[in-house]
Amino acid sequence: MDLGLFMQIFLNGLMIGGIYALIASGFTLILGVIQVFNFAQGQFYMLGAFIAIAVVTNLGLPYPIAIIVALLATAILGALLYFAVIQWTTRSGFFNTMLVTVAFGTIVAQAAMLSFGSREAVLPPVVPGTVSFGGVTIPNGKLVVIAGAVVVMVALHFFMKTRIGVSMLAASENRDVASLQGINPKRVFWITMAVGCGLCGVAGALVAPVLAASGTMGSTIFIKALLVVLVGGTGSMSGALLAAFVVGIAESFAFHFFGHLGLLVIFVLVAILIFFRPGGLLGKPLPVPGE
Amino acid sequence: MKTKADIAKKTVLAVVIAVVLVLPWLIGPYTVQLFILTMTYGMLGLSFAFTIRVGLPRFDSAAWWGVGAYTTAILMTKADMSFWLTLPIAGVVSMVAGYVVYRIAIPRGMMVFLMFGMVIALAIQQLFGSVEFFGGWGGTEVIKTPAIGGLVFDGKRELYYLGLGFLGFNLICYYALMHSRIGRSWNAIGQSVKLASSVGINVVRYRMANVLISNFFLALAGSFYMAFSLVAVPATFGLHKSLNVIMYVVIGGIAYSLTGPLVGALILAFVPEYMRVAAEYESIITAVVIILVVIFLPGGVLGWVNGQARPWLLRRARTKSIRSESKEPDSG
Amino acid sequence: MSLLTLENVGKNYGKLEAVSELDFSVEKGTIHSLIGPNGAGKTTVFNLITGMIRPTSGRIVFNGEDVTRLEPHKIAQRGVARSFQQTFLFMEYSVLDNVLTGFHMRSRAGVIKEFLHTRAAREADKKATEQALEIVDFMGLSEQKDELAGNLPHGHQRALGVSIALACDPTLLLMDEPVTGMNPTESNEMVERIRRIRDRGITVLLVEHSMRVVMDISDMITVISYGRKIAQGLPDEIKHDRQVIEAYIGEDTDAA
Repeated sequence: MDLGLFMQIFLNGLMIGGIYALIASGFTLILGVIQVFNFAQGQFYMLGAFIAIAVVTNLGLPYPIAIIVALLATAILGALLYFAVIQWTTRSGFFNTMLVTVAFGTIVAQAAMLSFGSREAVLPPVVPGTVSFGGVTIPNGKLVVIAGAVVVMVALHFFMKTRIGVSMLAASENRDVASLQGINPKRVFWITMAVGCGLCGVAGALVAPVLAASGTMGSTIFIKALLVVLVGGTGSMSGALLAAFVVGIAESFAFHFFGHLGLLVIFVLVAILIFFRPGGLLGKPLPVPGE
Repeated sequence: MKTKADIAKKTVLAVVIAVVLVLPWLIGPYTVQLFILTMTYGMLGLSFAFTIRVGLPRFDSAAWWGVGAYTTAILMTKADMSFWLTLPIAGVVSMVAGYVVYRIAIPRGMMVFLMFGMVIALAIQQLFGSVEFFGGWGGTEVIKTPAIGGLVFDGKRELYYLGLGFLGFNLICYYALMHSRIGRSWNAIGQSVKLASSVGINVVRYRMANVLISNFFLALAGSFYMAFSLVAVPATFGLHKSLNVIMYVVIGGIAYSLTGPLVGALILAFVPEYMRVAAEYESIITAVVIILVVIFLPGGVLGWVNGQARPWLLRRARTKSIRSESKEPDSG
Repeated sequence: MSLLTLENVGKNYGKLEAVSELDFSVEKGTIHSLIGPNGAGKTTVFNLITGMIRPTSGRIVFNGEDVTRLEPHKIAQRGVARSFQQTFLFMEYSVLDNVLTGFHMRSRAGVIKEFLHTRAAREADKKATEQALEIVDFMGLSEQKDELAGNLPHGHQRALGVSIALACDPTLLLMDEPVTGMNPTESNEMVERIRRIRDRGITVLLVEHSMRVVMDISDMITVISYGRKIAQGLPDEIKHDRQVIEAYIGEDTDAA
């Protein structure tokens, strides 16, 4: 394989990895802080994509505005999910709350399809053209996605250092200690939901110019995000970050070599990894049976 | 001593069984078909409820359902096997494949099992779709309708009774297992894994047995489904269906392992029929129903019914005993 | 003779050393206490002994057998039982049924054999119920025997936890903070029971914060701090050990 092809596949993997990083981080955040398994994560991603496309094509606004609109819309919707639903179901337990997010996700997906149309929507490339270096040609669009993902992850990193971010981490470590320190759990929770879902909205908006938005993109990306979470180690944000790029790049190569069966190959690899390292790449090694 | 509750339950059961047995003669063929689907989905729900008893929520019910369906379809079309012979084979295939996969997941606990389930759901669907031997995304060839002797199961009524047979077998087996000594260990595991481990229960082994049995019956439900649909298409056996299965159980009431899934499947099969809304709003309505049930009826429909019925039963019992104690006419 | 020996046992989580170079033995037929300031690693030691976590170094020997790598249920089957600091109970079972679980697990012969409902099994059930009632009575829970575990007040739940452990017919009983949160009367009753448990031939390894109880009841005390053993000896020796006193300075010890 020549270097040019290798770089193309590799950069494609980075792009996919960047998207996974956003979605998996959001998911891990919500799971860690509120202990909610947010099934609607993928649907927020899809919504972000559709919203970005609508903003640019229907409203004629510039792309950066579209990204911000998508971010705000999904963040607000995420907070709504908390206030309208999750805050009432947490007392019914982890499992029931998870189901409710499934239901909510279905509503979001269906509503999006009805409003935006179920045919695949495309956004013309925002930064048209390509970049060439060292014999490799990359569409600019993909670089934008990578750059965008990196920017957002850096912003998230700094956000986690703010007071509210620290409260979120505290709440995920130990809920009782957190409330003792005067942190208002409800506030932490809805902000966590907003951030977690907003991350997906941004991911969707970033991806819209490069990949076609479709009705099923939400569920597909969700499963892959779960793979990333498994590989990185449940509950570890840095693990999710590392795993996102590992899985993204692996997937890119797998699809190149195996076509459609590439996904199956990834599944098998993940299964083997979990067998030998149940804690994932960076997660705590899980204890011997005894939960 | 027979309590009021016992008598009430047994009466209800008897009535239900009687109705179920004569149903096809009381209603039209389209409704019979709805009942057939209810039975199929109910069986899927039963197997989900079965594994949740040991604390393992499975997100791959539809995948193993598909394994059963495909095994029957492939054996009947390519090996010209009789329908009935494919049944135990489908069950065993499902168990063996399940063992290979769950060997990795079960010892790692509930979270890993849960996520693995979703991955498996997708992987198996991909497998059926991508591999030519299974007919690809278009599905398998059409199978012949099953028959015993002269009786061919090609009408709705015949399929109804066939389904009843499958469902009945499933219920009996699950009931027996849950009330056995193994069932006690499963109950213990479901309540506290740590404590169960401490008293010497091999949690992993018992969970594995539970999941494999669930796999067996999921596959059987798949084979039955083939008798009804005659063709297996990958799209049927996806994650979406597995999630629906969970809905049935939650709506019915997660504490009711045998009746909950059936009630839930019944509700979700029939309520959309009577809502008469445009098809595109159906999934939104269903989703809203789920959310409302979880918030307002956390014990599911059966949990709610039980809650309503109990005071009534207690009241009747109390009134009766007052009457029998005093010789005066009841003034209540 | 040593029933349980920890040889150079260590457990780290990455750079965090929860337990290191831990060496101690528990003699058969004694009440041995493991004490130390908060966060010293006492519960970790229990988790290591019962197999819930695996040591990163060292060996654990029970009754002459190396049990370091065994799974929890196997260790339980070899005669190690434990009552927990947190309340782990079968909440939906009655008190009696909870205790009975300890008995049912004694004749573990494999999943398939259990399925056969033999007459021997039924007789064993009857005997188990008798013995379970005896334990329930011993722990003072007779009145609550049909009450659901989830409905019991906290003190009774702790007692139930101990009952379940006793039902497993252990050779070694690990008790994680048995009197914490109890009032003086309940506390004294529990102490008496622990003595009677020892007199029945069960070796007891105890983790407890209440110094009064520990000094009163122990045949031997091991003190750990930051995952390391800092002292071991008879109550009188430990009471006056300088290192122990230093380790506890700044700690709210139970003066009562």
